[in-house]
Amino acid sequence: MLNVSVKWQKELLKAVEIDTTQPPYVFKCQLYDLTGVPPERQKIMVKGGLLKDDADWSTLGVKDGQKLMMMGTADEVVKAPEKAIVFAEDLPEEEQALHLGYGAGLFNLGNTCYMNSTIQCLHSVPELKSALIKYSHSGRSNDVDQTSHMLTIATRDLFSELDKSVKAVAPMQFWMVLRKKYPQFGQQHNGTFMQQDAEECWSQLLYTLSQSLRSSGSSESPDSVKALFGIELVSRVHCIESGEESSEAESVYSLKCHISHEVNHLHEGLKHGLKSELEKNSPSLGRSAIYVKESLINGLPRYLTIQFVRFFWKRESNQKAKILRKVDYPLQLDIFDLCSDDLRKTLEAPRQRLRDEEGKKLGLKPSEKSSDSKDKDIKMSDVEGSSNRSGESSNPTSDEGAMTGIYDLVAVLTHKGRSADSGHYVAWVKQESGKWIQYDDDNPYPQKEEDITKLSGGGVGGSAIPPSQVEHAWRQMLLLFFSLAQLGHPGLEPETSPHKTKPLYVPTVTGSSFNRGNSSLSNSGASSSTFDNDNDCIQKGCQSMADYLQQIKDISDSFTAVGASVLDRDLITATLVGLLDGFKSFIDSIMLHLSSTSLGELRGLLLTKELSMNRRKKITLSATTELFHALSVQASPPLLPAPPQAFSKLAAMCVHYTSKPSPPSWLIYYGATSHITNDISNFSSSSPYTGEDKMYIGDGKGSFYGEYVFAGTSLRWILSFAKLYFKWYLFFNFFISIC
Amino acid sequence: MAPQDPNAPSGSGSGKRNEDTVKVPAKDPKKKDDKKDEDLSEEDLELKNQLELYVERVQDTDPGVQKNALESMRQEIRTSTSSMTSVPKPLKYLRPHYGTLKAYYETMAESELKNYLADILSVLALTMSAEGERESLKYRLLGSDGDIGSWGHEYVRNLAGEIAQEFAKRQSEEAPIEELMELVQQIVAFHMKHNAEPEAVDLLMEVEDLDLLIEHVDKTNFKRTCLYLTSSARYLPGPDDVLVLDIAYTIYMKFKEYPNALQIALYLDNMQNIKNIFTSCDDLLRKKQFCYILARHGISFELDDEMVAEDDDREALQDIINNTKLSEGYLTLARDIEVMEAKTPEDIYKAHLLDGRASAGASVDSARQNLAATFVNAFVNAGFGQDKLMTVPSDASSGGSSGNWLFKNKEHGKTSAAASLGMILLWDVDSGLAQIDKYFHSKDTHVIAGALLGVGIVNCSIKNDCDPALALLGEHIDKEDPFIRIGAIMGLGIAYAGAQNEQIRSKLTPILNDAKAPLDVVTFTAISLGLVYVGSCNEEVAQAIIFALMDRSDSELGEPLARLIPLSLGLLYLGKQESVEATAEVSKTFNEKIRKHCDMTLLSCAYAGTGNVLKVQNLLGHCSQHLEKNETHQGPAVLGIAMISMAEELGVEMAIRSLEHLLQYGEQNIRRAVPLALGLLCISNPKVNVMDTLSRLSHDTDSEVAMAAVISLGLLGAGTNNARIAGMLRNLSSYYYKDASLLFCVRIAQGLVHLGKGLLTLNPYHSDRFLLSPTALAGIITLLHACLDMKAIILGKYHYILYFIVLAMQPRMLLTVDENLRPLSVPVRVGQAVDVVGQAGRPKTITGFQTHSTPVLLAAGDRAELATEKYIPLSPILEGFVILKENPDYREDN
Repeated sequence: MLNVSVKWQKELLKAVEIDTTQPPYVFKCQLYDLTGVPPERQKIMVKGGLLKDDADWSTLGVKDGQKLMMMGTADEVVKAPEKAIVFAEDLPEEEQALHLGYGAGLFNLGNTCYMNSTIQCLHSVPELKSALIKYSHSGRSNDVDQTSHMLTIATRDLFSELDKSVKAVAPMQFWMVLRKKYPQFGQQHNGTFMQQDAEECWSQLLYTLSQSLRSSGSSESPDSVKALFGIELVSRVHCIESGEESSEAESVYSLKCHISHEVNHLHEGLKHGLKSELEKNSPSLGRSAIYVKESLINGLPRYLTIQFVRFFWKRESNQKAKILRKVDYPLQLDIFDLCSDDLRKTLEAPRQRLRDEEGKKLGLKPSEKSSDSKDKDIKMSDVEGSSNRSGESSNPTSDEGAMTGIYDLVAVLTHKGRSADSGHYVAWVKQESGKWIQYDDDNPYPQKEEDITKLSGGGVGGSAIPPSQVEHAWRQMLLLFFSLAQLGHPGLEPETSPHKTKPLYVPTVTGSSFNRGNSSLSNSGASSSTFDNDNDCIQKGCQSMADYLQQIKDISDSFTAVGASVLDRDLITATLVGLLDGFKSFIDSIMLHLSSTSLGELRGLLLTKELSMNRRKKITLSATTELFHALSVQASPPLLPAPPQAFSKLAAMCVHYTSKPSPPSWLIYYGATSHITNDISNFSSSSPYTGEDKMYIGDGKGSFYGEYVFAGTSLRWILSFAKLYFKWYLFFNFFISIC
Repeated sequence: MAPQDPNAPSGSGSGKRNEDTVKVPAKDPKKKDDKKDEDLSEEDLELKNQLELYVERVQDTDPGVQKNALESMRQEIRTSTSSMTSVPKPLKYLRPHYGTLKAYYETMAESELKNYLADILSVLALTMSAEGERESLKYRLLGSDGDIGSWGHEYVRNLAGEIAQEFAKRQSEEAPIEELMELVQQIVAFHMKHNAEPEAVDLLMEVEDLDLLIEHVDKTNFKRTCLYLTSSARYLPGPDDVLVLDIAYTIYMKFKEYPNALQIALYLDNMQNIKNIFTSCDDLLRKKQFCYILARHGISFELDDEMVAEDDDREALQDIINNTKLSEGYLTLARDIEVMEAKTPEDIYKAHLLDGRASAGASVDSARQNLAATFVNAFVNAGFGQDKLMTVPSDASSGGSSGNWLFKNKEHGKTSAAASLGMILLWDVDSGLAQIDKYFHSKDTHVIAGALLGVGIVNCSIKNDCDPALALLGEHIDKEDPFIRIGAIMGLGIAYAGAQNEQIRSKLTPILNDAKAPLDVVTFTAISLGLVYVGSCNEEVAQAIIFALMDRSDSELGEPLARLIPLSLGLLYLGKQESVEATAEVSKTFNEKIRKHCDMTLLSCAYAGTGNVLKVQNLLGHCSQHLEKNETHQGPAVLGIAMISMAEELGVEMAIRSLEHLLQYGEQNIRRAVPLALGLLCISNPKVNVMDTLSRLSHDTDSEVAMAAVISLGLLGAGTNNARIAGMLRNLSSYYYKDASLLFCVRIAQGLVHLGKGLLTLNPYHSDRFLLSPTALAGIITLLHACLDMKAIILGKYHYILYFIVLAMQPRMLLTVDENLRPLSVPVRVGQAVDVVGQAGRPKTITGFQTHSTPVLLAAGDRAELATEKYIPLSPILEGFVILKENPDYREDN
C-alpha cells in the first residue's frame, strides 16, 4: 500500500492509495471515480514515462508520498467537420476569379496599354458581353467582312477568358486580329509597336462590334451596340449673316467635352462641345459663311460615353499636345439640360418619380421597400439589363420614358503623361459589388470611390495609388463612363419597386482633335487593305496546308503583278488569320515575334505543324522524317538539322544559325528549378540573350510544334511560353548554344 | 614688447609652445629662452631665478647646501603639481637644466642626496624624457622610494605607462621584474584610493597580475572596479577575459555581492561557481533571488542538500528555477496592464485602416491565410491561456464542426493549428496539458503531431518533476508516421532545450543513425538534440550528428532542410569558441555540398555572442567572394556576422554598417541573408535606422529578399507593439495583397510585432544586456537558418519551425515580489540606461525616466531603479522577478 498524491489539471488529489498487488489499471479506476476521466484516456506520468495498464508497481519505483501527474479530460474528442472545408487554393481558377470579385488584368504586349484599358472598360458592360456571347462563331453574314468577324470573335473569347481567369491574360489573339483589322495599330517605331490613342481604339472597336453584332442575326436587336452607346443628336445649323436655318439629326457614340480655359467642370465642357462653328457655302449669300451648329440630345443611350478633348494639334511645333487643365466631374451626371425639348418632356415624369422616391427615402419612415434600395437595384439591373434592352431599343419612345437623364459613373480610362505619344493608359472600372478596380495592364488594384473623382487631371495621383505609380505626376482622363440612373417604367414595375436604377453607360471621352486619319496609313496599309478584302474569302477550311499556302501565294503574286506589292508581314497575318481554330496556340506563338518571322519560315512551320497535327492522328514517326525532308526541300532560310536522336525526349532545342537578318535576343535562363516556370520570380536574375540561337518546341511526345525565336527584352515573353506550357503541356528545353 | 603686459599669455601660452618641443628634449636653444624671459611677470621671473639658483646649489660641493637646495626644489615642484592642465611652472623653468642635473647626478657619489636628486629627475623626466626612454621610471627606481602620490596624479599615471612598457620589454628579455612589481603595488594602492580604479585595473592587466587587485579593493571601490573589469572583459582576447571575470567573481564573493557573482558565473557558464554561491550564501531569501536569475537565464540546475539544507526550502527554490511560477507572474503583469482580453488576427491586421481593401473574399477560406491567422493568433495570445480561435469552447449545438478553427487548416496546417494551443497556454503546464489532451485522440495524424508539438511548447523553459513532456512525447518518437515523429521530436527539443537530458539522448540518437529514417525526421532529430545539448560540446551527440551527415546521400544533402543538420552541430558548440575546432576539422571531410555550409555554421555558432572581431572579419571575407553557383554557405556566414557581433552595442553598430555594404555589393544569396542578420542584431529592439533599411528591402525586386526583410521587420519589433513597424506592415499587407507568399510573411511579422500583446521580448540578452541565454539564441538562429530558404521551408510544409521562436520568448517585465513571493507594487523609475563604466562617484544610471509602479514593462535599453527607500531589492539588476526586502533603516518622512 502506497499513498501518493496525484496532480490533475489545477487540482491536487491527496492521499490516493495504491494497492501495489493490483495492476495499475485498478489505480486508474480509482482515479476515474475521483476525476471522471475514463481510464483509457488517463495518462499518468511517472518519472518521465507513462504508466501502462499492465505494468508492475514494484519495478516502477513509486515511493510513498510521491507526486504523480495525470493528464486527460472527459471532454469530447475533437471531430473533423462532416463537411470538408473548401479552400480557395483548391478551387479551379474560374471559381477563384468569382471569389476575387473582379476580372483579371491584361498583359502589356509592348505599348498596348491603350488597348488593354479599352478592353477593360468595355468588358465592364454586361449587355455587351451578353450580346457577344450570342454572337455565333459561324454566323457571319455576308455584309460583315472577315476581319470584323475575327475581331468580334476575338473580343468574345477575350471577354470570357477575362471572366474565367485569376491571373493576368495575354490578349495575343485579340491584338493580332486588331492589327489585322486596323493596320495603324501595328505601326512600329524602332522595332517596337508604337503607343496609340485609346480613343481611336475605342471608337474603332465599337464601330466593328456594331457592324458585326447588328448583322449577327438576332432579329430583335438590329443594332445592339447602337442601343447601348449611340447618342442621337439633333442639330440646328443657322447662319447669322443670312438667317438661314436648317436642322439635321445624327447619331454619335460619344459626347465631347471641350476643354478651354473657362471650362472647370464636365458639364460646362459638354455644353461647349455641343456648340460649334463651321464655314460652308451659303446658298443664299452665294459665298461661304459662318454657320453656328447647336446640338441637343434627342435620344439617350444606355451607356453614355464622354470624351475629354485633351489632345490637340499644336501647329507651331507640329505635334500633339495635351491640355493639362483640371476638369471636375461628378460620380453622378445629370444631362437633362443638354436634351432637346422632346426628350425633356419624356424625361420629366420619370424624373419626378425619382425625386419622390428619394424624398421618401430621406423621409422619416424608412419603409421596407427603401431598404432594398440601391444595392439590390444595381444587381437586378444587371439581370434586367439584357432582357429589357431588346424592348427598349425596339420601341424607343416608350422606353425612353423610363430614362431619367441621370447617369452613374462606371468606368474611367485615364492617360497619364504629358504628351499623346508617351505616357500610360489605365482603366478604372466599377465592379458589380460597387468597388472600383484600377486595371494597370496585368495588375488590378482595388481603389476607393472617393479617389476616382480625384483623377480629374492636373494633379498627382491619390494616396491610394500604390507607390509604383506616384511618380507619374500628370494624370489625365480620357474616358468616363456613366451608367444611367433610369427609372423603371411605372406600368411595368408597379408598387413594388417604384424606381429602379439601370446601368447605362455614359460617356465621356476626350478628345483627340487630332485625327490620325488615313493620312497616317502607309502605302502598305492601303495595299494590304485591298489585299484583306480579297483574302476574306480565303480560309484554310479542310484543304491541305500546302494547297492553302499556294492559294495565298497566288493571290500575293497577282498583286505583285499589278505593281501593288504586298508586305510579307501582311501576308503572314493573312495566312494566320485564315487558319482554323486548331492553330490557335500556333498563331499566338508566331505573333510573339511577328517581325522576325519570315514568310518562308512561316510556311515551313505551318507544314511542320500540320504534320505534327496529323501525327497525333496516329500517323507514325516516319512522318516526322518526311517533315524534315519537306522542310529541306523548302529552299529558303530554315535549314533544319536532322532531328537529334533524343527527339522524342527533347521537345525543344536550340539551333545555332550563322546568319540571321535580325538577331533575336533571348533571356538567359537562370535558376528556376524546373525548366519551365509560370512565375517570373523564379528568375533570380535575367538579362536579354543576344546570341542567335533558335528554339524548337514540341510536346515531349515527339510532336513538333514549331520554331520560336524571341527577341523579347521583357520577361513576359517567357511567361507567355509558360502559359503555353500549362495549356498544351509543351516542354521547353533551353540550350544556350549548340554550335 | 612690453614685458609687463598683463595680457601676455605667460602661463598656458608659453607652456603650450614649449610642449611642442618637449619630446625633442634638451639641446634647448639658449637664445629662445632668453627671449622668453622678457615675457615673464615679475613673480615668475623671481621663481625662475630662484630655481636656477637651486640648480646651481645642487651642484655645490657642500652636502648641506645641496640638501637644502634639493628640499626647496622639491617643495616648489610638489606645491605646483596638483593640477596638470598645463606644465607646472617650476618644471618649466627647470627644463633647461634637466641635462645639467642629469649630468651632475651621474657624477654624484652614492648617498641619500643622490636619491633625492633621482626623485626630482624622475619628476622632471615627466615632461623632458624622450619617447621610449622611460627616464621617469629609471630615476624613480634609483630614487628614494618615497610616497609615490606626493608628486601628484599625473606623475603616477605617467609612471604607470612607463611601467607597462618596461614590463613588456623585460618580459621579452626575461629580466627580473620584482622591483617593477613593488612599484606597481604602490601605484595600484594609490589609484584604488583615489577613485582611479580603471587605471589600476589597466596597469594590472598590463603587468598580468590582477590578483593584486583583491588586496586593494574595499567596500567603497569594489563596485566600480568590478564594473570596469566585467565591461573590459568583452574587449579582451581569450583567455584574459576569463581571467578578468574570475577576479571580478572573486571580488564580488569577497564582498558578498552574490547576485553579481552569480551573473559572472553564468556568463562563464561555470557550474562550480554557481554552487559555491549557493553554499556560501546563507540567506534563503537571497537564494530565492538567485533562483529567479537562474530561471531567467534558462539553464537547468539541480539544487542539492549542500546548497540548501532543508527539503521544503529546496523544493521551493527548485520550483523557482523550474519556472513554475512564470505563467502566474506573466498573467499578473497582463492583468495589471489590462490586456487580458483575447485578440483576434483581425485586431492585428487592422484592415479597416487600409484604403479600399476591406477584405473582399470572405466567402471562402484560404488555407494559406488561415494558417497565417493561426500563427498570428498564437503569437499574439501567447501565454494568456485564452484566445478567440482555439480555446473557445466548441458550441454544443454546432457539434464542434464548422466552428472549430483547427479544421479550417489544411493538412500540415492542422499541425501548426493544434500546436498553437501550446503557444496560447505557454508555461501553464497544468491546464495546458488538459486542453491539448483531447487532440491526442484525433484520428488525423497531423492533428496528433500538432498536439505533441503543443505539449513541447507548453513545457518550454518549464521543468516538472513528473516530466510530462518526456512521458507523453517519448512514446511517439518511434511511430510509423513521420508527421507524428516530427511533432514528438520537435516537442522534446523545445521542452528540454538546454536540459542535457540523458534519456532524450538515448532515445533520439538511434534515429540519427537510422539510414531508413526520412530526411525531415533526421533533421528535426538533429535540431532537437542540438537544442537539448546546446552549448554543451557533448562529444557523443556531435558524433551521432556527424555520422548522420555522412550517411546521407548526395541528393538528400542538397535539400534545403538538410542545411539545418550542420546547424544542429553548431548549436552543440554555441558560444564555446575553441572547443569547436576538433569538430570543425572533421567537418572538412564532409560531402562537398555541405562542407562549406557546415564550416560557416560551426564557426558562427561557436563564436556567437563573443564579439570576436577576427572571426567577423573571417566571415566577411567569405562573403566578399563571388561564387559560381549552388553554394549556400554565404547565408550562414552573414548570419554569423550578426551572431558574433551582437555581443555588445559597438559591435552591433559596426555590423549594421558592414551589412549595409554587403547589401550593395553582395551576391543575391547574401542579400537574402542580410535582412535576417539585421533582424537578429536588433531583435525586439526597433532601431529606426534598421527599420528604414528593412522597410526599403521589403520592396525589393527579389521576392526572397523582400520576404526576409518582412520577417525581420517582425523580429525587429517583436513584442514591442511598435506603431511604426505595425504601420509599415499594414501598408505592406496591402501592397502584397495579391502575393500569397509575401502576404503570409507580412502576417507572420504582424503577429511577431504584437507578440504576447507587446509583453514579450525575443532578446536573448538579459540582465542589463550582460548575459546571453543560450537556449533563446539557439531558438532564434534555428528559425533564421530556416528562413534562409523561405520558399522551401517556412512557405512549404515546415512552417511549424516558426514555433522555435518560443525558446526566446520571455516577458519583458519587472515584477517585484515581497518576501513571500507575492507581487508587491512599488514605485520604480524606468528610463534609458546610461553607461557608467569608468565613471567616478555615483553617477546616475538612467536618464529621461518616468516613474511607474510595478509590475512594469521594460523596453530595449531601459533600466529601472526603485523610487523608494522603503525596500531593498535583492538583485542589483531590476529585471524579471525581483524580491524586495523591507529596509530596516527606512523612516517614513512626514
